[in-house]
Amino acid sequence: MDQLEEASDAQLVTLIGRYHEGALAEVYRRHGGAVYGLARKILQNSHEADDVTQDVFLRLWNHPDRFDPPRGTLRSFLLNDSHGRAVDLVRSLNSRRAREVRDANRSPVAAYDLQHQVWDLAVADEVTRALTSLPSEERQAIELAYFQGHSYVKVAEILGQPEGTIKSRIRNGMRRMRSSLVAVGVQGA
Amino acid sequence: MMMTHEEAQELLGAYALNAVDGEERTALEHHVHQCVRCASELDVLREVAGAMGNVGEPASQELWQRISTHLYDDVDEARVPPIRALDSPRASLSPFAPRRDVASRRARYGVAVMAVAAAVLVGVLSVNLVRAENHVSQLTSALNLASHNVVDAALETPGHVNVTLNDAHSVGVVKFVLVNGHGYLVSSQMSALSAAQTYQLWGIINGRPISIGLMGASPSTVYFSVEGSKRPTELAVTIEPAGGSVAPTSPIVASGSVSA
Repeated sequence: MDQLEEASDAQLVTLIGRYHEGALAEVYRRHGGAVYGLARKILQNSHEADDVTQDVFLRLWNHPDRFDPPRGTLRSFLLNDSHGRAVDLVRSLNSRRAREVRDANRSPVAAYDLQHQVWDLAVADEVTRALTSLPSEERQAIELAYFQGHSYVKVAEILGQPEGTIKSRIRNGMRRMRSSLVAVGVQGA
Repeated sequence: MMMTHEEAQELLGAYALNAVDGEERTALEHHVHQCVRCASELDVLREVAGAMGNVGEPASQELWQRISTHLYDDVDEARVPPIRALDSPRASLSPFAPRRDVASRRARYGVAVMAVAAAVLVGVLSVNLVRAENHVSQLTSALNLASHNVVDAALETPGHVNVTLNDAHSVGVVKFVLVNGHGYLVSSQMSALSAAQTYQLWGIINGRPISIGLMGASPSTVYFSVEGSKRPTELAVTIEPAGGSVAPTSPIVASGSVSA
């Protein structure tokens, strides 16, 4: 392995297990933006998103064994962590009160390489397409749960539907999304 | 609270979105732990959730600096940290993970063996520094002694390479000695920085700067390893915010080529 940037995500996590700071920096370079972006989208607050992102990467640093490559990609693992923490924060803040977007102009110096950026954009496009092609009741339930941080019980309350209906809509919608993403070649979905 | 397989399956989608709370969540997790089919479906659904969350923004350099300053707040002692710069508690000097099994390859060089042994001592004592802050001064003395032995041994090892880093006025301000992929600071005339800054060492590999590690605000004892990686053609130093940077953010203050 000549350079860290040529290492696979799994190799980097192995190096992190040996307290290799450069490996963590490389993981941050690859996935930090996505982790931060999701947290900010949920929290609508850049400072809280910073805190969540910091938690996610320090957790990876301190407990790299939590990542199990056969069970999914590192990005999904980190995003799931980011989402879980952001949702916890939203709920504990009882929240929406802190939704003032102080969107500082950020100046990233660790540019993610173009090939990956293009791939990310392509994936994001496909995900948006898959989400918007869902029946509206499924999409609505998923968006309220995922991007607003509501529990499915709360989503049922908001939409005035039985909880069982919401559970089914979310599950069916996600399965449908999965099929759409696999059909267009988005790996890992 | 017990949960049937059917009940668990119905909840998997919501769980993948972190939308299940309380006892229900605990019961579901208990079931998933025992049910291969549910665990497998959950992995798939989490990938979908991950794809949805992939809204992507550029990684923030400022945030990385903040994260990197907390890396050793909660060190798991079961894992072996890299050898650090001794004058900077947060400085880690290992872009390519150091190997601990180098002694056998150096066995034919008695002096080099001494260097490795001393280097290990430095590492062990560095860990102790983390563990027992009230013994810092005692340990620092021992570390300094050990590091001097390391540098002296490295300078006497056959095949060592001296690398001088010159500043903008072509004055050699930093000197390293490299032995078998390991580097040791011999001397530094760089002025001390404020606590908010650090010197950061870079190796130029394939024309690109790769972080070797942080040297601290006032470098005195520095060890690094590039063993097992492509050898840098040049070493360079920049001044970065404390905690270091992913890529250089300021002009090079000293650099020098690494010739065989």
